[in-house]
Amino acid sequence: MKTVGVFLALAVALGMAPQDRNLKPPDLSPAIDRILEARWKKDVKGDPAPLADDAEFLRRVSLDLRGRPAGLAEVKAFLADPAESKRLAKIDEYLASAECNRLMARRLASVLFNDYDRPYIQPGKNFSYQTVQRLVKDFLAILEERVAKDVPIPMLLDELLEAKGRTDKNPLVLYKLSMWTGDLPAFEFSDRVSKSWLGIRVSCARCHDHPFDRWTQEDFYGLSGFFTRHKVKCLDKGGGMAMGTDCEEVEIEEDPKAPELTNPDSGGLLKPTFLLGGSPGSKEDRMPFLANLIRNPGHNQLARNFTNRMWDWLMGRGLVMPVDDFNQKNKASIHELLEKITGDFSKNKYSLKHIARAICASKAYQRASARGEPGDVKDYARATLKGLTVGQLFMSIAVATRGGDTAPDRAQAPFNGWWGWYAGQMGLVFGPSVGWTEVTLLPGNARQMLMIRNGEIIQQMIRNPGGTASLAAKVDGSPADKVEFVFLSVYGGKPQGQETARWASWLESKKGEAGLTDLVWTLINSTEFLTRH
Amino acid sequence: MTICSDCATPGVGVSRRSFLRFGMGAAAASAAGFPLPLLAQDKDTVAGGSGKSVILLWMGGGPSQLDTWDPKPGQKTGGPFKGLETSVRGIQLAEPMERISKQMKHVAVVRALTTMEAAHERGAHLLHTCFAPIPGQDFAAMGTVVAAELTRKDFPLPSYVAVSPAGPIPQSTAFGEEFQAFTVANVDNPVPNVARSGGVSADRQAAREKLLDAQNEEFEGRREGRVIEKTRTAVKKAGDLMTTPLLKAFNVKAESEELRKEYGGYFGQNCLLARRLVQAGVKFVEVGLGGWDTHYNNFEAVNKLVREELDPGMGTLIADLDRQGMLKDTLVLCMGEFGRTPEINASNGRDHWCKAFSVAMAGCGVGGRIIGATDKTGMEIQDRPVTVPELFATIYRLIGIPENNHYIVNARKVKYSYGGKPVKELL
Repeated sequence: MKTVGVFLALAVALGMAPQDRNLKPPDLSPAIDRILEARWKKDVKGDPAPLADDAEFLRRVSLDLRGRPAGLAEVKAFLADPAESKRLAKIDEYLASAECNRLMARRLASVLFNDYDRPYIQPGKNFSYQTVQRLVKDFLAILEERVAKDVPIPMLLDELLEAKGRTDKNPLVLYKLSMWTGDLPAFEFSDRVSKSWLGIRVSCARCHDHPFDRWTQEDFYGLSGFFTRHKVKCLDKGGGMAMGTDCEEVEIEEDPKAPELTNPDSGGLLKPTFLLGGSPGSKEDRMPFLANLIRNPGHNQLARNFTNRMWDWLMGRGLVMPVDDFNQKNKASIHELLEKITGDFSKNKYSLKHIARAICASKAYQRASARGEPGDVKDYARATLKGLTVGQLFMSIAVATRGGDTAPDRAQAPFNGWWGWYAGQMGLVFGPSVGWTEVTLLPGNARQMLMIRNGEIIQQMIRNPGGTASLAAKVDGSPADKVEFVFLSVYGGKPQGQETARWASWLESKKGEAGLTDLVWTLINSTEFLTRH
Repeated sequence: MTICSDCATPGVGVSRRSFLRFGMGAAAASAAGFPLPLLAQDKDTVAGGSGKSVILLWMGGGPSQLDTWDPKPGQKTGGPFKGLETSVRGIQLAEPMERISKQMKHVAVVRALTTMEAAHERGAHLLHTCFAPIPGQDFAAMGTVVAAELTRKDFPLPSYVAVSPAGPIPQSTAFGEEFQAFTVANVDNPVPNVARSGGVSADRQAAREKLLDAQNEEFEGRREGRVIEKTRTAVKKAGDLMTTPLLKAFNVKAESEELRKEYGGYFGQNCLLARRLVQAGVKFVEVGLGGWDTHYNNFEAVNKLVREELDPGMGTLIADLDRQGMLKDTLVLCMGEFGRTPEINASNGRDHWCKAFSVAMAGCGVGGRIIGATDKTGMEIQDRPVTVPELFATIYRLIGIPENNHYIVNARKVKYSYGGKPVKELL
C-alpha cells in the first residue's frame, strides 16, 4: 500500500508540473510529413494509420529514447495530462535525460565499432577480459559526455581520428586500438571508416573492383594508406613496455618514417587517397587532413549517413538500407526526404538530438502500428514493429513486474545483490552486459523465451509481494479495475477490445492472486510486450 | 587476403528459406529416421527431413596435428610420441590415439588443410563458416546451414545444438533465428528453464498457453512485420520444447552405466549426448573441447587431453554410431581453428600454424583414407593441399546439400562453400 501511495504522490506531482505552452516542434517535423503525404497522394491508394494513442506513443518514445518503458506512475500522469503539447514536452524531457545520453553513446559506439558487441582487439598481445571491460567503460564515459553536450558529429570525428597517446590519458584511443583485429589494421581502418562515417562499403572493392559502384581497389587501398603509419605499443600498469604479460594500457602513435603500404596486386606504393577526392601532401598531418575530407559539405555524405542512421533507429527502417551501403544502385527510397533532413542536420550544427527531436515530433513517428483499413499505403504510413533490444527487455520486465519504475539501467551493470542476480540470470541467456550489447536486437531464440516463461527469477518477480500482481490484488475495485491496473503496469496502456471482459472473468474464476499472476505471466510473454511498436 | 563474399544488389534473388518452407513437409513424411529404441513410442514425431546428420567435434584453441592425426615419429619436429599402427594397414596416428586408431577403417584424415588465418577468432570464424570475418557482415555457421537445409518443419527440438562450445560460434539470421546454435552448457542441466516453475501445474500451464494465444491473436492480426513471425517462432519453439517427448534425448543418464563409462570424461559424455540428439532427429550437433592452445608444455597437455577426453570420446562415439547403425548417415568431423607449428618453441610448446594441418572425419562412407600429406618434418605440403572452400564443399556434398546453394544476408548473396569443389578422393 505504501508503494501505491508513493506512486499517487508522484503522479500528482508530475501532473502538476508546469507545461510550457510555447513548445513548438522544429520546422523540420511538418516538412517531413508534407513530403510523405505528397508521396502517398501521388503513388498509392489507401489511408495512412491514424496517430497512435497516448499510451502507444509513450511506450514507443520511452523505449526509443531511454531504452526502457515508462513506469506506472508516469503512464498514469501522462494519460491524464490534458496539455496539447505534452508529447513534445515528453520528447524534450527524455532527450535531456542521462539515460538517453547513455543509450545514444552506446548506439554510436555500435556504429563506430561496426556492430561488434565490444572491440575485438589483438595487437600482438592479449588483453584480459577485465582490461577490455575497463577500456570500454572509460571510452563510453567520454562518449556519453560528448552526447550530453550534443557535440556536432564532425567534431567527434576529429577527436576520434586524431586521438593519440595512452589509453589512460585519452580513453578515445580505444577507437584506433580496435583496428588491430588480426587483419592488417590499415585494412580494418579503411573498411570501418568508410562504413561508420560515410555509410559506404568500400571493402567490397578489396578483392575486386566494386561490381556495380564506382569504387575500385585503389579506393580501398587509398583509404588504408592514411592509417599505415599508426603503431601500437603494449604497456603494463605503470606505463612501461609490457614484457611477456597481458597489456594493461596501450599507446598509439604515428611514425612519420614508416613505409607506405604496397598494393598487394601490383606491388607499387600506395599513396593515401580519399575515395571522394583528396590526397595529402608529404608534409601534411594525415588524420586531420582525412577528417576534413570526410566532413566536406561538398559531398555531405557524413551528414547524409548519420541522418539515415537516425531515421533507421527511430523509424525502424533506413531510407537507404542496409544503412552502411549507399551506392549507385542502392538509392534512398525517398530521396527528397533524406536530402531535406540532411540539409536541416547540417544547418543545425550536426546535432543528433535536434534530428531526434524533429523526427519524434513528426506525425510520421507518431502513427499507430496497427493496420487501419486495408489499402496499399506504404513508406512509413504506419509505425514499424521492431524486436526489443536486450537492454529494453531487461528494463521492461523489471518495470512491468515490480509495479513501478524502480530499476537500474542495464547499461550501468554490474550490480550487486538482487539486481546482480537478475542481471546474472538474464546474462546467461541474453549475453552479459559487455560494451554495448544492450543496444543490439534480441536474437529471440527459444532458450531466451524459456527464461521468460519459466526462469525462477522471473517467476519470483511475478509472485513477489509488492510486485504488480500483489499490488493489483489490493486495488480497491472490481476485477475490471484490477485488470486495468495490470495492463497499465505491464503494457503501459489500458486494456482494449475484449481484453477487459476476458480477463475479468478469468480473475473471477480463480482464487486469491493466481488469476493475477496468470495475467502478468501472459502479458510479459506476449508479442505486444516483446516488441517495440 | 580476406575472402570476400559475393556482393549482391539488395533485394535481388530468392531466399533459400522460401523454398525450404514448402519443400520440407513432404520430405518429412516419407523420410525414415534412425532406429529409436529409447523413443520408440514417438515414432511418428521423429525423423528429420534428410537421413544425414553432422556431429562436429570442435577442438578450441587449435590442436597439434603432429601429436594426433599426422605424427612425425623420430623427427626433431615430431616430439616424444611414437607412431601407432591403426586398424588400416599403412596408416599411423600418434601414440595417444589408442581407441580412435582402432576405428581407423571409419576415419578419413585430410592432412594438408591450408588457410591464411592464424588468429583464434578469425580461424574459428573461417572454419565455422567457410569465410574469414568481414566486419558488419554476417556469415552463417555450417551448423546453421545444415540445420536449415535438413531439418523438417515443426521439429520440436532445436535443430543446431552446441554442447559446451569451445569458443564463440558465428551467429547469423540468414535462415531465421531457429537455426542458430542452441547452446547447452553441460549434460547435467542441458536445457535451463525448460521445466515449469514449481508453483505451476501442467493444467495451469496449458491454460496459460491458451490465454497467451488469445492475447496474441488480436495484436498480431492487425500488425505485420518480420518481428511478429520471429517472436511467434521463438515462443512456439519454447512451448514445443516444454512438452515434446523428444526432450528425453537430452537425458544421457538413460544410457547404460557401462556405455557412459566407455565414453569417458566430460567431453565423452557430451559426445554421448550428441549421439542421442542425432538419434532423435537433430541435424547438427557441435561438441566443444577446449585447451588446445598449447604454447607451453604442448606434449604433456596434448597427452592428457587426448587420453582423457578426445580418444575415449571420439573413439567410443564412432564405435557406438556404428553399433547403432547410424554411422553411414552421420558425418563426424574433428577440427579446430588451425594447427600448431612443427617447430617446438623454447617453452616446449607449439604456436599457431595454418599452413598445413589436419581435419578428421568419420562416417558417411569416408573411412580408411588419408588425403594429402605434409613432408617428413610437417613444415611443407607434400601432396594434395585442401582449401577451406574445398573442405566445406566436400562436407556439404557428403550429406546431400548442394554446395553451390546460397543464402542472402546483409543484402549479399553468399555461396555455401564459396565456389569450392568437393575433394573427389573423399566422395
